[in-house]
Amino acid sequence: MRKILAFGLLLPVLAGCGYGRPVQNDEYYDDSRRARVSGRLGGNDGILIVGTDRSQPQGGGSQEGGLGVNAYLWRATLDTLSFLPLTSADPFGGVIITDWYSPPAAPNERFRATAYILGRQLRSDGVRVTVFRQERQGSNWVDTAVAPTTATDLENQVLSRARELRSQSAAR
Amino acid sequence: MRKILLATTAVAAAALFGPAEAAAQEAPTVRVGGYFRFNYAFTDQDGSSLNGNNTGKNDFASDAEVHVIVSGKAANGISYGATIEIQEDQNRQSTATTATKTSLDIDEQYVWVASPTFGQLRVGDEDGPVTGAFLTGIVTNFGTGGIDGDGYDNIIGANQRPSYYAGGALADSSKVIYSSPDFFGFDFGASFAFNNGEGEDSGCEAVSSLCDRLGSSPGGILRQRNERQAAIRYRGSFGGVGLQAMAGYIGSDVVNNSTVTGPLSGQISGKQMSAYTVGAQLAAYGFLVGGNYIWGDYNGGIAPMARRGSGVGAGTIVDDREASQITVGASYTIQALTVGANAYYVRNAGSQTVGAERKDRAWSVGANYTLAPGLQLVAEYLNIQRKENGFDFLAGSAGAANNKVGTDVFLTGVRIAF
Repeated sequence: MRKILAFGLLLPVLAGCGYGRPVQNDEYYDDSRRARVSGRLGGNDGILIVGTDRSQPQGGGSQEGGLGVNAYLWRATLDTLSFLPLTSADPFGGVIITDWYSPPAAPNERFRATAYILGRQLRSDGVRVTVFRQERQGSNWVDTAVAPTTATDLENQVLSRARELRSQSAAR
Repeated sequence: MRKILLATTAVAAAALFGPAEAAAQEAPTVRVGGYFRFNYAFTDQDGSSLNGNNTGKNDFASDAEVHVIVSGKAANGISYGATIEIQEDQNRQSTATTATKTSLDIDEQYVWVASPTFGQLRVGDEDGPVTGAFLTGIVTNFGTGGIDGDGYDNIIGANQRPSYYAGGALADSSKVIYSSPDFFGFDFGASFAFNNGEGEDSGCEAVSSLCDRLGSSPGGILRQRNERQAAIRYRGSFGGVGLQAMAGYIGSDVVNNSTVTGPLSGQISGKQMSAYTVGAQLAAYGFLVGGNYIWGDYNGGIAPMARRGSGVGAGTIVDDREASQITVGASYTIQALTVGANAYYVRNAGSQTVGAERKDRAWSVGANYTLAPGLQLVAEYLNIQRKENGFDFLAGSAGAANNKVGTDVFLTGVRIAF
């Protein structure tokens, strides 16, 4: 009996410590006749009257016309790197490659960037940006070091923009 | 004691202020779902004629439900929602002027708020954790549900239909329900209702025995007060075999007798209700096998009963034995076809003024075929037998005749859900 009581007390403690997995409503028994019918006409659980359909996998990975990567990260990366001319953008592999670009204020140096979106999830480690910098020495362009924070700053910018897009979408 | 209090406080604090699972906000959605079914039924029952009225065996019958489902998620990870289930439930029109067979009423209506770390709080008219959310072992995924299916809708006479335990066995009394998160396969829940009243308002205009809040009444009424449910469930998978098991408790007080109590007082005295249940089901390779057992101090399909010795004359309570019910079932699903069978055996006091035990049993076989997601053809056979020596099921009172009655129902139809 004492063991049963101890076990009973343990569960609320686990709840408090956040070890639990949320149980969804469809994991509970439902005694309605509707619940006995397998599947739903049209595939969705009821006809959507108000709101946005989120019954598809979250994160925009598969609901944006067949993108292979997270849609919010993809769009945010395009937005963030839009000041650079684009050479290649592969929405399935999640690779964006820009061309060289010289800022008008510094015509003797140029930048290009490569961004990789690493998956379908909207995660802070879901995007990696690499920046290349060259300086003109005579008639040649020579590779030079980039400030280590530049790539990180760009990634943060992408994540901020993705969060912005996600919250705008959620508020619709 | 101080340690326990400290621990409790710490748990509450951790639950309230602990790290919430990262979750994206979701704007609320409102969905309308529905269900419709049409059945042909062949019903062969005892007592199909009364006072010169004779009934046939064939009939068509339809039924419908409309569900309004609201759900959303706040930026802090709290999910919320509400459900209102509208149904046709006036299926046995007893008073022609009060309702038609197609009148709508509310089945369940509730609002819920769920935290990823602390579980779900659900308030409203709902079954509760034992007869609802955590119910386990009653296999109803073939036909229309077999021994818990549509067959009863075709049977005429309250005493021809067994009172049995299944999902929704108790009234959807207005209650508060807590359900925990899942901890390594375990989750648990509990609920409380002050009485068995559902819906809005107090249930009465003047103080009478109709009031939801009725505490005591002259002569006693076998109605629940302070309904309590608690259940724990386990779900796991072992080598491709899914296991679900649960144990639960249902208890309640009964409306007191406000006049006199005790043997030979002329009044009945209600017994406190308590029922215990265990259930388990296994799923693998298309098979689903389940069993459920419930026992305790109750009568019929979970209702309070009177105390033995109370009442006088023909109304003297002579039987307040414990009740029990065993339910078993199995089904097999292959592609769009599900076939299965289930059965129950109920033993209880039945008529409390008759000394013999009541034994109800039913078994069923059936199948359903999914034409398209949400569209199914169903077919089912249901056999029922009720027995209590000294009780006339057709007259509904003590008697030597009709101590055993039976019904056969075959039905087939189509049902749709969206």
